[in-house]
Amino acid sequence: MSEISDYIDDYFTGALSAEEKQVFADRCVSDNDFAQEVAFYLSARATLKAQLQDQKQQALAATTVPKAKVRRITLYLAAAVLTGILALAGWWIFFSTPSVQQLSSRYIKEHLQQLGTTMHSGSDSLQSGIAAYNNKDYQQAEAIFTALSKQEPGTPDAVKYLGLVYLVTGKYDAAIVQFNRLIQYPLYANPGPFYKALALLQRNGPGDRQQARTLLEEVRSNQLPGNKPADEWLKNISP
Amino acid sequence: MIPLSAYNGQEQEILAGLRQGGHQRRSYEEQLYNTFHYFTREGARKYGLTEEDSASAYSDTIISVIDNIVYNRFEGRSSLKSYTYQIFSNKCVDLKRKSTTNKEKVHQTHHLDTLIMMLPDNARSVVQQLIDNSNRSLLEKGLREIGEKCKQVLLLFEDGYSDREIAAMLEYNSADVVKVSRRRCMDKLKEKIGAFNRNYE
Repeated sequence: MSEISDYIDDYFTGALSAEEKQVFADRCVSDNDFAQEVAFYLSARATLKAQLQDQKQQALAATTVPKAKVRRITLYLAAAVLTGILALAGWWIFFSTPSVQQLSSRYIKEHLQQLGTTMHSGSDSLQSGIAAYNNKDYQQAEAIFTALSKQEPGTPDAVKYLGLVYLVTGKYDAAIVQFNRLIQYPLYANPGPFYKALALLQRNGPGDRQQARTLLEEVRSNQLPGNKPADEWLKNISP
Repeated sequence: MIPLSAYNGQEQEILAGLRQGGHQRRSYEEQLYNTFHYFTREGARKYGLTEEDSASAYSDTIISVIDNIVYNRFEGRSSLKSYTYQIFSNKCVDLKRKSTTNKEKVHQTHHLDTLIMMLPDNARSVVQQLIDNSNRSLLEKGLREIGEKCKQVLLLFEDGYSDREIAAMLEYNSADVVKVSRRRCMDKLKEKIGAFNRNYE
């Protein structure tokens, strides 16, 4: 075993004192054979290091990365979550988009439970009928409006209110009869077509939907009363 | 310096495992490699490297990071992830530059630089000239002929394992025996090189 090799190894493994290191460095400069030994030592270690790096590169490249598996699981989870969200969204769109029948029911609940009392109306009976209607005394209201609608000349308001009594009480056939009568009145803004469409949608018999659609289109194109909800409902009625 | 406890659990475990050394170090090296392996996609995306080059830059990165941790050159001024990413970015840039300008990779001479910098200036220039004239292929040939056991001891030492750790891993009686064996292996290598040179002349 070479003492010089030990000496060089001691230097590069930090085993020498400061004074010994200085002597070592001086010898590198003054003794060419010694410098050759140092150069060999360093070249050998650099070559070993390069080989080590190659080995490690190969070993690492051959490593199976479990992270990819985790990522795949993550992808599956993400896909599952996305599918769930889409299914939920589909369900929501399907079930939360109200049908036109639901829309018309909602309209009745929101707009036709109370009738507006008119100060200029000349008929006390009409006001009484409206009051009965607003008190949900539909029997009384029906009686008053029926009587008024049979008078000559009959008033379109009485016919309209009678139709509405039938509508809110679920007597759709009777309601449609009254709204047909109302349509015949030469009014500037006749609500008859809209109310009839409303009654048809509620009755939902064969052909009612198509007939309602035609009436709603008429309401929309002629800007008749009820044209705003008509426009909305038409989006929900298939042609 | 960031205290070890400030790292996240996984980084803390890797750092402790690598610093602890011993035969279990390998598993922490693998763990480190796996932890940030997704960087390779960044190499392809951000630096336009091929998948293969990006993987190569990443392996180089991990080897450097391991080296720096083992030799206590990792000062812990950032998280292990940031530190690794920084080195990876540099490697990618090196690789990109190499592919466009044919420049040699800097990291190949890195270790030699580290050792030779231990010499003072005047001694360094003398030794550096001699190294430049040395024949690397002869060294590689010599390493193939010194025997597997010798080579293994030298490689483990180069990998940062202490003589004591090598003794435990290769079942030597003591660290001193490893030290003697290691130096004997270097002598053996020197003899092989000498024989090659004589035959060549």
